[in-house]
Amino acid sequence: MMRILREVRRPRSVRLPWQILVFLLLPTLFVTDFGAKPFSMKLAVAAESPKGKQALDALVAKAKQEGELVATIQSSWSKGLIQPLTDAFKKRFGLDIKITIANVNSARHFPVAIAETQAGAPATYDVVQGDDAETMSIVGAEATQKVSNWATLLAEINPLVRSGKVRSDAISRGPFQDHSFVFMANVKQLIYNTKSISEKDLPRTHKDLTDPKYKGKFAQPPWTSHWEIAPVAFDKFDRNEWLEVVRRAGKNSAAVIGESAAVQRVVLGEFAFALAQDRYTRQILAKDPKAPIAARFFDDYNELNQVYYSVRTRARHPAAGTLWALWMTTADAQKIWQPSDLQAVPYGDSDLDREFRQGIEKSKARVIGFLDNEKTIELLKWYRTEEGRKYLDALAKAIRGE
Amino acid sequence: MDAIPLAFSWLLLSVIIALLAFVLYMTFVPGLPTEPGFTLRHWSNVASSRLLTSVIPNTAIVGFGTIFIGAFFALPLAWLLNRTNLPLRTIFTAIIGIVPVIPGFILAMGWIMLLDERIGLINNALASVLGIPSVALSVKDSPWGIAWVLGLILTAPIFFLIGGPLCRIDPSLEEAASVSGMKHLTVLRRVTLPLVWPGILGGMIYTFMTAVSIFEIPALLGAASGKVPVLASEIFYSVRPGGPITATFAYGAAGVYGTLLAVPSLLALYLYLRVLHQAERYQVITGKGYRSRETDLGAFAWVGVLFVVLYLALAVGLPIFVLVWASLMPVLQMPSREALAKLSFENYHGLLEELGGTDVIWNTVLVMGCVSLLVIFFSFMISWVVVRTRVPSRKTIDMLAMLPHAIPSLAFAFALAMIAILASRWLPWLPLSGTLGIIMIAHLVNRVPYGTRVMNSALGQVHHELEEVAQVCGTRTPTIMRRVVLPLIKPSVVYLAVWTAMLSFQEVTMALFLSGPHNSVLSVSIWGLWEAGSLGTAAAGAVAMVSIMGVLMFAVLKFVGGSATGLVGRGTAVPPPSETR
Repeated sequence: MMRILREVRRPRSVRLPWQILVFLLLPTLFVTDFGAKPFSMKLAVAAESPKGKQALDALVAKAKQEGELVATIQSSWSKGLIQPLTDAFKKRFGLDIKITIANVNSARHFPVAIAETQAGAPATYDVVQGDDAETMSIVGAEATQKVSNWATLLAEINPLVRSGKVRSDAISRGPFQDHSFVFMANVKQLIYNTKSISEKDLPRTHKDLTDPKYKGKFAQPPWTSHWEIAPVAFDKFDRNEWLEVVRRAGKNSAAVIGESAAVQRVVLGEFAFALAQDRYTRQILAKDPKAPIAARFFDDYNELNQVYYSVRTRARHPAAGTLWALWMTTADAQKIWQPSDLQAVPYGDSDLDREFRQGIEKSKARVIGFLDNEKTIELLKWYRTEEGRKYLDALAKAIRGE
Repeated sequence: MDAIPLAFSWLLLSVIIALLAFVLYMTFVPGLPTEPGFTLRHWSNVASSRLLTSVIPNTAIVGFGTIFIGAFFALPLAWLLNRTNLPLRTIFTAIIGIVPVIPGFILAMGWIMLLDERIGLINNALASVLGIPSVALSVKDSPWGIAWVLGLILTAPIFFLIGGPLCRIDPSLEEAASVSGMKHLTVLRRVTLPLVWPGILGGMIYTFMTAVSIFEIPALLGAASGKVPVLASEIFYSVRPGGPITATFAYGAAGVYGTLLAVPSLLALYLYLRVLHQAERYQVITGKGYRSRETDLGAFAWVGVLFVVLYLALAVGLPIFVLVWASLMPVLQMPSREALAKLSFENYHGLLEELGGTDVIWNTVLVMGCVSLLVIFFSFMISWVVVRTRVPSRKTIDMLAMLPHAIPSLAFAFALAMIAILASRWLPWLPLSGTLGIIMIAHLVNRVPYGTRVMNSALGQVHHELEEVAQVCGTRTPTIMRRVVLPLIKPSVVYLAVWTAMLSFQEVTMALFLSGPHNSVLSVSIWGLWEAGSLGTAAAGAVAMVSIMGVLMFAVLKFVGGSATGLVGRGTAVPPPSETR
């Protein structure tokens, strides 16, 4: 006891006041970026000159001034892609800026992005990616900013556009024009376990999913993208009747889970088939060519799901974000991510892109995208309305059998 | 003398009160909390027949079922490993300590592989024995299946919470009962169990609160499909809607579900505090000069070993097998000769890069270290006020410190995320959004209830005389705390630090919600890999995670003093009489 007390009474002059140091250093835990520049409220990234080269030079100069870029990539992409993408991007534009790339699940992040916009707060990410419906949600909530002069810039950055092989409106059009730029796509279809069910026993149409013989045999994702394009797929369409179809299919499904997890459980044999993107079949077979898995299109319709990059409203580094969004549409970027992700670029020229298009043509599958024609664009716009949002809410609930 | 601990206590409690108020406030505003207006719409929207007919009953089954399963394993385990001469106790206890680190979704996947009508190994074995095509037995789409898996996981916390009180029972009471002619089992039932009743009840309430707050396991086993909706899944889908176009936060609904989830927890908390209050009136567990008695199991030792091994096989062996198996497979498939030929270490190649590199590791270490220190610091300050002072508000402080455990962690994370967004707009000098700091605040608030329980218990065991002697010598309170009291309760502090660090290491729900480009931690990376379809790499990451934590657990047990039996109890035991008197 006395020993402890003697210790207590010992002069403390030689002791390091570490507690003070710890408390002084604690605030640094709240620092995300030591080199960050003050928040800039610049909204539009406009190149002042209409000439492509000049416009691009001006944009690059602004990006250099900003000194940083914070961008998202698909949550499913390998982190091994980040460095090659970053290096190639910097090299293309002669940039020496700090780049942070994060795998982000758009469905999870976009509510945050919308909340940031509503609150008038700066964006966490300068440039974000998401599919048609996700992108519509942030464009509709004014969480993305317009890129002025984008067609000129795109022609300067993307050789396919410059050469005229690809029209610029194949990359940004409809309600997304000026805001969002397509860089890849997939088709929603049926992925099945060849040991659990034969091709001929699979459902042919979405309505077939309500058949009692499929009860407990399939999984579908909680998102609405397998069902939402239906209003333009049928000549006669009744929204309430379709909701009932979705509800009955929801009650019939064994599970409502994310597509990637569902496909894994299809391979495991737990589910006979799942509603999922075409790329999962390619990815599974690339990892294990003997995996008992195959895919089939529905006969009634199959949604083309395009993925876009958009620059966020109140982005801290809008010029760098714009460069990224436009550069990701190029074959240079595609060469880096496509070999591992195995998703197609709808206007692309790679072997996979050609196979993707030929596969659809050969199967004569009816593939419908939201930007296909005026009718589909109108539908997409309708989903932005109060009535449309309520219908989608009802669809989402019906998928869970509610 | 009391000003410093009181100030720090109220500092943290103010944060807790503010977060709770924010959650409640959200339920009455139409949109973002900054927007004007008042509405009861969120409450009326949530109040559906489905809530009454399926969500609440399912949640109740999951909560109470988990308690039943957890207690079924934890009570005998706690007795066997703390009060008997069972062989290999240290090793068994250390392995139980690994359970909380195993990702819950892995255990759930393991049970799907075992018990599923289509692919279950047990089902197939039974079907072939019985000569029938299939056996309709599954952990999916049933609240009982969810309770079974959760019960296996939450056995470990109950075990550790009961271990302390079991170790501290004065053996003279049991000896007196034995001398009076009571048999071993009667002594256990009539003397031992009633004495540790507050500990058991505390463990059960902790289990209930945790079980009804966990999302990922119910989601995998049926909640996500809407077949077994529980309150945790409802709150999760409110803040993370499924349909992308409808991807806006249901701010108010999230708050309503959070509040609903808090009601049974608050009720349980009230009961717990009542039991504690009554326990103090006839306290017979003293802190001085005894060693707990060990029951000689004799020839029945092997039965005890079998029971422990059975639990460890179900809760540790199975998930670790599934983890290792998944990490070695290119694509997860059921064990078979064909699958065996596909095993490789491919998923371990470039694992560090796939997990996010050294930045993620460093972030994780920082979170673990800082959260542990902060939890110890604030728990100590609060417990000092509660146990060592006569401040009139001390009981209120104690209750408020327990409050976060009654609120689902997701609700806190959601409130913090909203506050961070608002702060980045209105208080740009206060960087919260996307920092490690905000994750630490969430963890701190979430762990303080447990921290204060450990610290209350530890401080309660250190006699006032020691501080009085130091005061007589002119020593100031902060110095007494640091140089007298803390060294005496060091084992408890170490235990709390390690337990907090481990929980911070594996926590994913809050971190996922609060993560940004610069503050990703390991658990979020592993969840991200799993969610994105890279199950093999996620499993490889989880194997690495479990291995590191296993080694850490063994190292700590070594440091704390060999046997891990009743770490809390050991941690709070007073020094030998010769030193204290």
